[in-house]
Amino acid sequence: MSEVRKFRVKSRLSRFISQPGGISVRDALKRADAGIESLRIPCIADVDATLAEIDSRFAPATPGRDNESLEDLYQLSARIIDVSICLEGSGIDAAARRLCELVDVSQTLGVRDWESIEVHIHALKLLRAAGLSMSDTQRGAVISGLAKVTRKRVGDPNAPWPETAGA
Amino acid sequence: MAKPTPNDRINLTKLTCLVIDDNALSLELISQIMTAFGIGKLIQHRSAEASMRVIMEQPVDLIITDGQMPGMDGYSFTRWVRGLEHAENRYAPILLLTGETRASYITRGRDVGASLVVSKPINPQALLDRLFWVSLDEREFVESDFYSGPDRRFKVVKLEDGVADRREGEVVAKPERLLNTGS
Repeated sequence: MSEVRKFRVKSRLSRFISQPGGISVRDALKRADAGIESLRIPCIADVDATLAEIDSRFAPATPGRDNESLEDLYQLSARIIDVSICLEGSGIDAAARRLCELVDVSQTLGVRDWESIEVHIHALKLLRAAGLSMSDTQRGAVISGLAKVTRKRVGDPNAPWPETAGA
Repeated sequence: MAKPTPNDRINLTKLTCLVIDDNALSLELISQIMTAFGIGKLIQHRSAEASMRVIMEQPVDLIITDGQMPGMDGYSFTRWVRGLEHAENRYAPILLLTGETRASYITRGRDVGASLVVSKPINPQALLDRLFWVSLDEREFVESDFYSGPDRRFKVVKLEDGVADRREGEVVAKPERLLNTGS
């Protein structure tokens, strides 16, 4: 059996973060928001480009979409999550997460339900276009509806993982 | 811990932060936030491979890495950092950011030695909270043949009086507690 060593390490982050000087949390957050705002246009362009790619490869009329990789769809959706801070409050990050969950469950169960995928793509586009102007109730209904679609048509995204079920 | 209040101060001026993300925009978002927080030195890289040289050549006080990257991903990079011998950087706090929803990846983040696995998208307030949290992290560092990193027992929960002890009065938290959502 291997030896296990345990010891305390005080990081430089721990030592310095509370030292006198620096800036107030209020100012730090204000500056950070301004920094993000400066990237808002390219981030939104990236979201739009990713949505366009999803559409071009996975929309109903796309020839050969059955040959497309679901893993690619997962990665495209994750890419939206990456930069969705620029659309904070629109709910697009939550919808992208639901699409990832759908793909994940689909891969696990070996199914490909195009209608479910299309519903998610429509929701992404809806939230991109109008998410920021929706009420919390409307936005919440869209997002919770996606989880219901996945659960009803494919499987429960919150079900135990096959490798750990019953463990 | 209590969240930092607006009047609290944060001093990162003497620290070096390495940010790694293959997505240029995501890299820039995190970098903008760290710059706004007043980080002394910021090093950006779009690949883990390129970041290995940084780790070998200079002190790094904080590492923020994306989990999913082509080539060496953030998980493998974290494990590599933790496995370094005779290198101070192996103890650096590592925030592993992920857009992954797959539970296995969260567990994997814990098992490679990340200080914290954080869900994307991350906003400034969430990142600030995590920085304060990691700075106050009192977990021991564990080294063995199979794992190097902060103690994976994320939180020690005392059992109520009268409850039979299972692990000498402690319950090891589930790994899911390592996931801190950025919302």
